[in-house]
Amino acid sequence: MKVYSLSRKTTILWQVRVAVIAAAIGIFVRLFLWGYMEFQASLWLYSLILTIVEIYYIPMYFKSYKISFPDGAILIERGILIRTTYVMPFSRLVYAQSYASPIAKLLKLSGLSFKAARSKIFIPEIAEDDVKYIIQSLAVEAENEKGI
Amino acid sequence: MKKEFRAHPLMMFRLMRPFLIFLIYPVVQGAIQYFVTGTFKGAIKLELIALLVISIIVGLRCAAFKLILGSKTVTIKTGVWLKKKAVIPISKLSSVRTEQNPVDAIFNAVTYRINTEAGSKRKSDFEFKLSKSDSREASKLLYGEKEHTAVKFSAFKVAVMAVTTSSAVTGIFVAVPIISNIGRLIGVGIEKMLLDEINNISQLVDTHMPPIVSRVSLILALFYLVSAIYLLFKYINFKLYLDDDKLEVRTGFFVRRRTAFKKKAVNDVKIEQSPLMRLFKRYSLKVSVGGYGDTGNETAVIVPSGRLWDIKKHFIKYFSFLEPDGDITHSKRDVITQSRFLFFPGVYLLLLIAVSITASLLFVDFTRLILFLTLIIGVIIVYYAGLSIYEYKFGKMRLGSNIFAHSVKGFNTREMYAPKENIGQIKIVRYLPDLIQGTCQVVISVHSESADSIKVRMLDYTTTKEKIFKTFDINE
Repeated sequence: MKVYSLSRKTTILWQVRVAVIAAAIGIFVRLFLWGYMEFQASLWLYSLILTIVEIYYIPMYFKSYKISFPDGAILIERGILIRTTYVMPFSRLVYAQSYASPIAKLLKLSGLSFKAARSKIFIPEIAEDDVKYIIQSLAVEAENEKGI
Repeated sequence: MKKEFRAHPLMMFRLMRPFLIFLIYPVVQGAIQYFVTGTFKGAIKLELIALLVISIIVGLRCAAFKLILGSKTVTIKTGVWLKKKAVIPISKLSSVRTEQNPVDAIFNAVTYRINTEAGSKRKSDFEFKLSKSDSREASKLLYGEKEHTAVKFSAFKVAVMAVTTSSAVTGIFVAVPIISNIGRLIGVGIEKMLLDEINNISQLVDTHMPPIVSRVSLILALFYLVSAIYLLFKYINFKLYLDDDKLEVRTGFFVRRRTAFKKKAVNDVKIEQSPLMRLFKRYSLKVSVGGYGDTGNETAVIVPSGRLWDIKKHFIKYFSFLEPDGDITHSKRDVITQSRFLFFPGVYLLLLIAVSITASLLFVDFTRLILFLTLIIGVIIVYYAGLSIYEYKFGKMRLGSNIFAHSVKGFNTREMYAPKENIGQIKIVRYLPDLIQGTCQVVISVHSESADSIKVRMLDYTTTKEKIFKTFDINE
C-alpha cells in the first residue's frame, strides 16, 4: 500500500504564502495603525509567533501528513499537537477535485479535495502526477463499486 | 471518446449577480438619472471603473470554464487564479437540471446544473450556462439516447396542485424580493404604495372583525394568490419522460425546466396529501433524489395531482422496484388506542377554551379579536384531530426488502416507500403511556440531505422491535 507524504516544495510554498500574508498585515499596520501604542508594543510578539510558525510549525505540520489508500478507503493522518486521522470509505466518496494556484502550478504541485455527502477532506499540494493517478484510481474504484 | 463544452457568454451575467445590488443597480440608476438630468451624481465614475474591472475578471472566469464528458466521467474545469478540476464518475451523479428563462431563450442559452450527494443544500454542485445545442448534446452523452415514453399532465391537474400546495409564506418569499428590487431600481417606495392600497381596500370591506384582521387577511390572501400563480407557471406544461432507468421531468412556461435523474439515485418515493388536497380528495406523487441541488428540498414532483387509484397506478408503473413486501404492522384498533390518538387534540382544545375565556375577561376591549383568533385556532385543532383519527385508522408499516410507512407528517398525510439500504436511522421511542401500554413510536429516516422521515405511532413494542431487528439482520 503506497503512502503519500507532502514534499519539501509544499512546505516552501506555504512558508512563502504565510510570509506574504504576514508582510501584508505588517504593511497595513505600519500604514494605518502605527499611531496606536498597542500595535507597536505587540510587534515583538507578532515577530516571535511568525518566526515559530515559519521555521518550526509549518515544516513539522506538513511532515506529519500521511495519505494512504488501504482496501476500500482513504486514510489521512496529520497534526503535531493534535493528531487527527480521517477515514473516508470509497463507498461514501462522491468525487475528487484538484486545485492549483499559479505558483503551485509552476512547482508542479496540486491540492486535492475529496467530497462525500455532507463532508469533505482537503489535502495540501502534492505532486501533480500523484494527484492525476489518485483521481484516476478513484474513478475506476467508483465504476467497480457500481458494477459498471 | 471525450467531448469538450465551453460556457455560453451569458454566464458572465450570472457570475456578476453578487454585484447586482451594490454595483450594477447604482450604475443603472446613475445612467437613468444622466438621461433625465444630464449630469452624473455621486461616485458613478468610480462605480463604472469597478464595474469594468469586475467585468474583465468575470469574462476571464467564463473563458476558463470547461465541461469535458467522457464515457465514464464528467470533468469540470474552473478558475482563473486558482484553477480547479473536478472529476466525477457518471454513476455518482444524482441529477442534471436545465433551466431556460426568457432572457436565456433570446440568446439561445440554457442554465445547466449538475448535482451530486456531496453538494450543499439549496445549492447546485456546479451551475453554468451552455448553448441550447451543447446542453442537448451533453444530456445525450450523460444519459444516452434511449427511447422514452412521455406522459403529459393536464393544466387542471397542475392548477389543483398549485392551489392546494400554495402558501402565503411562499408568496412572501417570491413577491417581496421582486417588489423591493424594482422599487430600489426606479427609486420609488413601491412597498409603501402597496400597503396604502391594501389599507384603502380593507376599509371598504365592512366586517364584524377588527380592522387589523381585515388588513392581515387581505395581505395573506394576496401572497397566497402570488404563490398559486407562481407555482402554476412553474409547473405548467408538466411532462414526464421515462425509459428503463431514467426519469426526466419537464415543466415551466416562462422559465422552462428539465430535471433528469437515474432511478438508482432515488432515495425514497412519497405519496402526499396537503390539507386542501384532502378537501378535493387528491394526492401527489413525489420523489426524493440525493443531492437534487438548488431547490428548497430534494423533492421532484412526478405526478402533480390525481385520485389515489391514479397515483398508485403511476407509482407501480414507474417505481415497481419499490413495491413493499413484509407483514403489515399497525396500532391496535380499539377504543383505548383511539382515545390515545385524540389525547393531544383534546388537551389543546381545552387549553384554547381556557386561554380564550381568560383573555376575554382580562382584555374586554379585544373580545372580537380574541374570538376571531379562537375560531381560527379552533379550526386548526379540529383539523389536527381529524388527522389523528386518520393516523389511527391508516397508520402502518411494512418491513422487508423495501420499507413502507403510512402516517401523517405535519398537516399532510404521507405514504413513504424506500429500499431497505436507503434507511439511515430507525428510532424506537417509548413515552410513559407507551411503557404502560407496551407500545412504541417508530421514526424512520432516509439517509438523504433533507432526511425524509415518517413516524408511525402506537405500535406493539415487542413485535415491532423483533421485525426491525429481523429486517436489518441485527442480533441482540
